[in-house]
Amino acid sequence: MLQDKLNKNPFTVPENYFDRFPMRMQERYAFTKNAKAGLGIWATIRPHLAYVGGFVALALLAYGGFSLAGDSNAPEKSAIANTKTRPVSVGSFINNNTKSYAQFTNTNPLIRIVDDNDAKSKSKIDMDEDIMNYLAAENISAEDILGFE
Amino acid sequence: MSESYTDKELLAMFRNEQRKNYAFNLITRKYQERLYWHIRKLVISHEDADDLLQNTLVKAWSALDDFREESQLFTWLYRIATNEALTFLRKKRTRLFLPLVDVETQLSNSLESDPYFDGNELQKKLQKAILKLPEKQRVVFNMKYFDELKYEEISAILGTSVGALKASYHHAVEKIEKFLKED
Repeated sequence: MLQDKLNKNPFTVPENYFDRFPMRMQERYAFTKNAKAGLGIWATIRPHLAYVGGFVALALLAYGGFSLAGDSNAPEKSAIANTKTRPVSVGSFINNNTKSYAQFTNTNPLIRIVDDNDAKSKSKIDMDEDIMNYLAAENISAEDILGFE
Repeated sequence: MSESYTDKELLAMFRNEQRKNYAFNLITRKYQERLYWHIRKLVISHEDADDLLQNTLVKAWSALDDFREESQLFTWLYRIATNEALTFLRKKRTRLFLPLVDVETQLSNSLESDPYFDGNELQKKLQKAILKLPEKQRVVFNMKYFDELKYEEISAILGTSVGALKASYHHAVEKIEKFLKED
């Protein structure tokens, strides 16, 4: 059966395909040459770009790693940072708080005696004066005080 | 015109930098049809054959400076074309994930709607039968049956012994005749 001239080529091509093909190939050679010329520059740059790219990637990874590690201590850091950005001396802290407390105790003299913390926060002289003023205001004499005992 | 130059003359011309383009143009004209038909019978589609013929000649252009004339120019070009076509088919095969839709079935189906197929029903059936052959047998059968190459030439192109080629061709013929008789 295969002897029956079946080996005649059954395929065809578009009209003038083989006439035009060499011209198309010339265009393709020119394109390939230009592409190779471009590739020459690219081939020179590419290894350097690879190094730079690798370095940048490592730097980014390191930065990301440090940032993540830093986040776990963030609350402590921010507290320290707040202290550093708003420095308050111990003296001025005590003065401010003592002053406000003194104002409070001026209007509520009984608290001044009862509250132990109040006494600690004020100087001894101030306390003595306060007691004297209070006793005078209440007309309590020294005998009365002694009589309590 | 290109037919009037021998391969030796064309190669000598190609090595002359000023005549390189002209020489390769002549080489293209001399071998384009034989190479095209060889590729076309393997990949069936005209568009694919056209692409692969261009790739074959571009590769030949790049490597021709190193061609040492240990084999004939025609044999060397044929080898490049065969490798291009087979690599193309292998790539196509890996792109198709479903084993049920193999490349050969796809090519066989494409014959039905190919505007550049002018054969009768028997020729179409023969092409379908060839597509059922294993890759190596297909190549050998096409080269021997259609291109009418000698076993020695096929051996030089494929790097296979003449004995093995004869066996391949014999098996291919048997399978095809069986297929043609079946329907």
